[in-house]
Amino acid sequence: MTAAQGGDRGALDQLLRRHYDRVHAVCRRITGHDADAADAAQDAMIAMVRNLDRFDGRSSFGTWAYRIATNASLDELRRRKRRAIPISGDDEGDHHHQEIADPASGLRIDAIGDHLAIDAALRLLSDDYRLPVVLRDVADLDYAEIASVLDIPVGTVKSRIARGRAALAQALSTQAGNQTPDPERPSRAP
Amino acid sequence: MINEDLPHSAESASAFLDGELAASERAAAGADPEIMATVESFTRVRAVLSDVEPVADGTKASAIAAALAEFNVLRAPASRTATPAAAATVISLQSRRLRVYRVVMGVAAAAVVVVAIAALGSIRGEDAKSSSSATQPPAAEALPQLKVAATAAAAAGGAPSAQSSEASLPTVDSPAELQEFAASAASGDLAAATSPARAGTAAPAVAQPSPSDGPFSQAACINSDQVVLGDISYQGTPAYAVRNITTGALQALDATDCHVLVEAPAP
Repeated sequence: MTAAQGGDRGALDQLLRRHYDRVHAVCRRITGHDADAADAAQDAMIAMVRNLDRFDGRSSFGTWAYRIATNASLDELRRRKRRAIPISGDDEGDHHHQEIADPASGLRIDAIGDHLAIDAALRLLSDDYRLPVVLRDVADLDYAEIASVLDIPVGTVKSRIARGRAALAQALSTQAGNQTPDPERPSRAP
Repeated sequence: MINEDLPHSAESASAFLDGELAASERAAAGADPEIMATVESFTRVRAVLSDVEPVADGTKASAIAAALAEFNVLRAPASRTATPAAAATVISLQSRRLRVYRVVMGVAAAAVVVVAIAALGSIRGEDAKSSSSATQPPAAEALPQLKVAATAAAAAGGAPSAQSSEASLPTVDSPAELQEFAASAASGDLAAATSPARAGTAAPAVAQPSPSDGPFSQAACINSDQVVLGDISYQGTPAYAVRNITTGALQALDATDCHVLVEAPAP
């Protein structure tokens, strides 16, 4: 890292290669789309290079990288919003929204693989829940690091991860036919 | 989908899985079948989540090449100025967008000038044939037309007047409106102008915008961590709407010097 900051291109190359796969995985799970993930991961790599001098070592490089990857993914989602399926909100009167947010809608496809199932399940979560779960289970950050990345209290991180996991477990279980779909609308974090 | 009345067992199971329980709590959780069943369920979720399909080698190579190209540009500002085309093999969205804009407007400006010159020549020719006594009027009449055409050409190609620029800019007068603008940009209204270079796409090498060319020449003052969302008029001042890719914050920057006119949190 120090060598890269000092202008060593080879060191930077190694650093980026070492972290790319995990950065891409985070982007993939947040965006839920291969092309968007590729774009977000590339944006994140470029942003890391641009901000390399600003990395002060107070957090690990991974934590810093995942923060950038998270923001790049959210930017990508905003840019591609027209393609994404809105899945949360308090607009109870929005019937279109309600219809596509039906937890079962993306999960009733027979013979769907785990990858598709988890994408569908993740789409049912709002960012408030999806981000902490992804940063925990994909990026392997601890609660304090996630709190730092998302700028929320550690207690909130703990609660949202638990709720997010419970929702995902239920969705995956529903997809597997073990439970009936939860008719509840997705909701924002309290 | 989110259960607001999450059972305590779920939160304990989640913390158990993450190793975030104290020793005594962990022992108690381990002895609770309900909690352990939930732990098993969450373990499966984690396994599926972390099992991301491998990214294609080409995608990875392209992303890293783009980042290293950026590194080259940032670390070699002198060579970028001297030989801009060789400095980068991957260009930013902003540069590409401005380049396309300049090319289109440049062609339009050239066409306008050619038409104006042709019209002037035609008028002069007719004047010479039709009247040897009339000396000034036809050319004098043609000059204002040429001036208008030249003004239009300048406005289109590289030196827009404040009026021509501001007239077509979206008006933003507050942080909230800046957020709305960013949201509209994200929703696709302005997506064509703001979508990033696609990963895996080999972009042509081009010169970076220089301070003297094009109506967006001052974009060079935008920081490397700022992504331009679009051009706006902020309280009457031509400005860039940008997003900080690190913090997600939105800003309106004065188009002349990138002075921050207003800042708003990400919507």
